[in-house]
Amino acid sequence: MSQESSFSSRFPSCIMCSVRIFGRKGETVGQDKRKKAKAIKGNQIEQTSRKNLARFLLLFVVLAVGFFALFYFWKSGVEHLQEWTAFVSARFLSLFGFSVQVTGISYSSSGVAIEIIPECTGLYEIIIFSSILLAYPGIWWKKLVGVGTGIAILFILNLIRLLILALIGMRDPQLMEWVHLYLWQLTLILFVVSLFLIWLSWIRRPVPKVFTSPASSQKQAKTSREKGEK
Amino acid sequence: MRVWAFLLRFVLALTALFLLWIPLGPYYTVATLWPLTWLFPWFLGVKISFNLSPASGNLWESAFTNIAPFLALMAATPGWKPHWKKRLWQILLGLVVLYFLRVADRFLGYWLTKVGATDAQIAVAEPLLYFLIQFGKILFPLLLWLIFCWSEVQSWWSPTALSTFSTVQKPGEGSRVYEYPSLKPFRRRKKSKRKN
Repeated sequence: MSQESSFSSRFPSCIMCSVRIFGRKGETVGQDKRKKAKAIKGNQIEQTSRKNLARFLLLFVVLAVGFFALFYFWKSGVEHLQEWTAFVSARFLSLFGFSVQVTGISYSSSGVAIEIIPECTGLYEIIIFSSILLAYPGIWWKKLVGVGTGIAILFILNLIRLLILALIGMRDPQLMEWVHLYLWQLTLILFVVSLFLIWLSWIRRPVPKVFTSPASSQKQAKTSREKGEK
Repeated sequence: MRVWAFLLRFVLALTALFLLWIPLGPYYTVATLWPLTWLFPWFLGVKISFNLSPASGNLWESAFTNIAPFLALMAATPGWKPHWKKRLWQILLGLVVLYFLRVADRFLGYWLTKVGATDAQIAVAEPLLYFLIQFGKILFPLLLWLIFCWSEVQSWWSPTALSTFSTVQKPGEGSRVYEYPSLKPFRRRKKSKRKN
């Protein structure tokens, strides 16, 4: 913590991103040699982290755009997803005792007709969520578990969204428009952010022991033995 | 705990912005339409007249879903006290970026629907328009937030970590030490040793 605070007081942060700027050419870090060496080490770490962050963000954007392009041009696949979403949400609504008629990508019940467009399938939220998880440096099985669970949760939440929209639409169509355009779009973004942070807290749970490579643990054991002898 | 506190702040900020947006949204609509009055004559030589009175602007057109998540994410992220100046600059920069993205998608929208474009132009502009309208509204706020606030988000799990992704090399130790074994850094290419 003290190392962190000493670095943050000495070096300004980049205004664009949240990573600190280190190691400008000709910059005198400190008068003391030890301080200088410490700063250089910090510089190296920060440069690596900046590279990692840039790589993560670049990978995230590339994956997101790639998935978007894939689903944009694969129209038949998205249409199937729309039909499937319409069918499942209609069945979901019928569980509550409503009589629902499904025709292709739309369904109607009690005078309310809902058409499922690609946006209504939750596909874009799923793409963003999957891309961010796949781009994040981590173990693959944890990424896959996260993506699988996240897709299932987002799909269920989307079904709940469609159910609530239909229920509101039966009572007040104008209010349905409002809830559809404002509230639910924001809520889906909230879900994506929440799921990502929850996943991150799962993979970044602190462990009691610090993992070290076998070589370094041998070295540590050797030094402790030497200390013991002394 | 920090994550849940953040999410609670995020929801509160979204609610506050939602209430603020009802009177302010139409003005933002007009602000996004205004550049089109000179962009169309400049790029395409076509003049389009828009109703620039705030009363004509509708809330949906103002792309609330684009701006609000970004502002709410920035507002909910801790670290305001020591870095409030930097945060304000970041918010300003983010708003400018999102504003111009909105202007770009409006330009493409009007170009395709009102002015008319050739088939070749449509082939390029249509995917871009869909990308900006449907996908960009989720992607860009999130991306800007990640760029601006990543180290704060990282520090929720490791307040002592110096670097993002927590790959800290201990002084005097040759090997890398991972605070969290579940995290692996990106693979690095091994430097090939040149044989003499």
